[in-house]
Amino acid sequence: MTDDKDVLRDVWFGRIPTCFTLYQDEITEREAEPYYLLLPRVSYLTLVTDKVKKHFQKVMRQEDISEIWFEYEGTPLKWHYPIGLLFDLLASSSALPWNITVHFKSFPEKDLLHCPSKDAIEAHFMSCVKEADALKHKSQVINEMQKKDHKQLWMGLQNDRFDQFWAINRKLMEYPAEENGFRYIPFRIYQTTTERPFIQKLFRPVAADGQLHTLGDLLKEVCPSAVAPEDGEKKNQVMIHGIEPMLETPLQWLSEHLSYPDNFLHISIIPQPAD
Amino acid sequence: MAGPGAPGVPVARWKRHIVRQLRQRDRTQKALFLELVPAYNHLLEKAELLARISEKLQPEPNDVTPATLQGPWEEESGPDSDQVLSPTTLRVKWQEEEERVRRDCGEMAYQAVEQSAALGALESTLEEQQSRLAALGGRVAELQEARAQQTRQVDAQRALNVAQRAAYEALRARARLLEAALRGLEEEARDLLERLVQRKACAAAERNLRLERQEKAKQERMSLELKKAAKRTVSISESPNTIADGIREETEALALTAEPLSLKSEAGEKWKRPFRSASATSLTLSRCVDVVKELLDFKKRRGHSIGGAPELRYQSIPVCVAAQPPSQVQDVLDAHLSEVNAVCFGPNSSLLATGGADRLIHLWNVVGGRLEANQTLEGAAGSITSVDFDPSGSQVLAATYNQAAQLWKVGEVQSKETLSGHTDKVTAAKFKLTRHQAVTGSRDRTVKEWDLGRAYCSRTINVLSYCNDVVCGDHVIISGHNDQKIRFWDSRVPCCTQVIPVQGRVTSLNLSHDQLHLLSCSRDDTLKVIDLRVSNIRQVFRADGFRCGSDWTKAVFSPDRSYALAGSWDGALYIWNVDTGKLEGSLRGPHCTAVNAVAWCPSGSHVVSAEQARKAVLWH
Repeated sequence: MTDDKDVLRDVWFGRIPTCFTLYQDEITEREAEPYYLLLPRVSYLTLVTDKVKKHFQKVMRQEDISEIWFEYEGTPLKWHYPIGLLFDLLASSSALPWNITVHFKSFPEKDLLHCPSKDAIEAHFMSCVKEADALKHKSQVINEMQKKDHKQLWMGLQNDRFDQFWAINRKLMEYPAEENGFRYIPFRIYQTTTERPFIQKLFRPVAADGQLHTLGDLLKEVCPSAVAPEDGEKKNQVMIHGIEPMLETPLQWLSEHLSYPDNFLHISIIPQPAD
Repeated sequence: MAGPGAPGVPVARWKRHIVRQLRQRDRTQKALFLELVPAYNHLLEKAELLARISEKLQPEPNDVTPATLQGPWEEESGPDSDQVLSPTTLRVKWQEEEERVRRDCGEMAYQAVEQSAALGALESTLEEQQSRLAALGGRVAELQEARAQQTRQVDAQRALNVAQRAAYEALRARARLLEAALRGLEEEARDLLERLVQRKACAAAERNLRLERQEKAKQERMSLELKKAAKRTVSISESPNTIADGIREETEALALTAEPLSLKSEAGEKWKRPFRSASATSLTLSRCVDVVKELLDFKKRRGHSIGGAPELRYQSIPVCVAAQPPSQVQDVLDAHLSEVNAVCFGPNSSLLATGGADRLIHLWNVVGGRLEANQTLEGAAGSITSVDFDPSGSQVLAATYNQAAQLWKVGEVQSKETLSGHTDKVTAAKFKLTRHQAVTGSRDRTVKEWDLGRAYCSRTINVLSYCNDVVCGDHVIISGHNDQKIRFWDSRVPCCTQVIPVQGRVTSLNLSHDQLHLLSCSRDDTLKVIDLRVSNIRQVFRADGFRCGSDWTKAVFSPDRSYALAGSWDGALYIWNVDTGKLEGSLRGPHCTAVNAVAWCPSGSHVVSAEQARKAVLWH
């Protein structure tokens, strides 16, 4: 059990060193120094980059500043994906720190959602939590919570308070004693190689014969192309929170411990680095 | 929450793998940079700060250098020029200096003067202020004194108030005492009153008892006497014949006088209305002939009859040939103390009887267009609902609410006979054309025939509905009922011979003199003329504004059956022409309430209407 708690802690406190540099075409009054930050993996880009924004705005003329957006190697970064997911999916094989380019001009309307305020992030976060609970408990747990519990979840995430967050999130991770797990596992599988943003299907944590489903079972069922044949060479990495869990890991345990705060297992499938 | 991998003490391989991987991840991604990043940010901040400071510092040296350069240069040039300048220039300079000093002096002197003036002004204002202060001080002292005086007054007032309050309290205490006394007295008075009332009640009860006892004794005495009287046998076998004879003779005389009268009136009518149709004239002529024939027959019969005929009939005397519809009011009077229910003319047109709810029947003489009180018939035990003269005009039959009909002789104040036997209000009582016989209709759903000679009920007809009016023909009895039907009864047949339904409760029936037509009035506000020869409704009379005022509103034919007359609920009289079937006219007179009954005098010259208030009106 202590191990489990440590896992939760490690997941929560995962950080990615990031170097923010201003896009070269942005007009500045002075030379803009790059800005370094340790980004929490479980949070959202626009939630933790206030300092970055302030730093770069200092060197810019007031009239050139519009909505901030981020880009990595030509790919605009979706703020509504957790940071860890973005990193795993796009930059896990590159050298650290993660180099993110900061833009203030020409917002890529077709790739990104606008993020006018923190309320937009909160709304997105809460909708994910609710969707996950709909899959897990037919929404019963989240609906029984009070408004202040919802607020506590969000404030826990916003202020990076592990205990505050888990005091409430614990309830969302419970399941009836007579069952072996949730109704369905809330998961999303992301691949860079396909056009489709992600795969999400109904998948039960326990097989019809009572056997617990594993991560491997899920991948075989939902995304067979990601799984290497028994004898073949491993072509893909299956990554959650920057690690590659073993394929025999039970899915129910993964969902309980390796889910992001939005209660989803965000699984990245990326090509095996060539080295 | 317990993970499925947890139960085994050696932690599952996959879990160990995860923990290891997480640690590995943190080592490479986090731990390395954990100190580096904040350190960099710190440096960045410091650099910025330095940049700002240096920015600030840079412009200062630019300002300073020229000043330091200029200073020594001027100082150096100063002594140079001094040495060069001549005493003239020095003087000029001195003069300038002096000038300047003098100007300054002047300015200062001017300023001094100005200042002193200002000082003077200030002093004067100060003085003014002080004087004002003094004045205010005086006012303050004055006000304080006034205040002291007022406090004294207030104290005095307060003392007065206290005294008055004490007096008031004393008065109130006294008032309370007095009130208590008053209450006591009142209670006593009430007590006394109650006692008085009780004593009075006792006395009254005693007196009642005494009276009752007396009454009972009287009744007992009476019944004893009655019994005694009943035991006595009285022979009265002779008397009916003698009475019958007397009446017969009387009728004869009347009939004889009637003949020339009718002829005369016919002649008069002819003279008055020359365009009367030939058929009508012939009818009346034939009627006259009939009358004469009958009279002769009667005489003949009379000669034969020794033991008395079983039916002794009144002769109908058609004295009117053409009636004049009324047009104007001749007399108005308060006939009764309350509602006037019934009105009837005597056969000779000069005597009128009215019956009212005040249990009285008034007889009136119709003299010269006026109604003169003739006599009052008393003794009715209830409200009068109908009055009828017998064809000889010597008797009056009235129906009363007291479940009886009563008979009076004209000229006698008290009732001669009471026909009792009905069990509810008697609504109509009519003489039959046969002598000594009458018919009554009642709300007890019976029609009774009476033998007046012996004052007993000769026949009781049970009907299904209230009877509101009855009329009698030679052999036929016609009754109008509440169930909207007119029923016909034959004296010789036990059951109903005919039923004619009308729309609305029947309120009155009137038989024409020739007994061929029946006029009915009903609550559907119509009058209907029924031809008795064919037994159907010949005419229906309606009029705008005519509404039947009550269940006993009476309508009549004129004596010559040319007109039908009825009074409406609003006090107007409506006259229909029977020949044309049209409304002849309506008369509005002194009636303000519903007209209950109308009567047309047999001579056709007068009409009397009686209303629900007290009035009876004579029309001409």
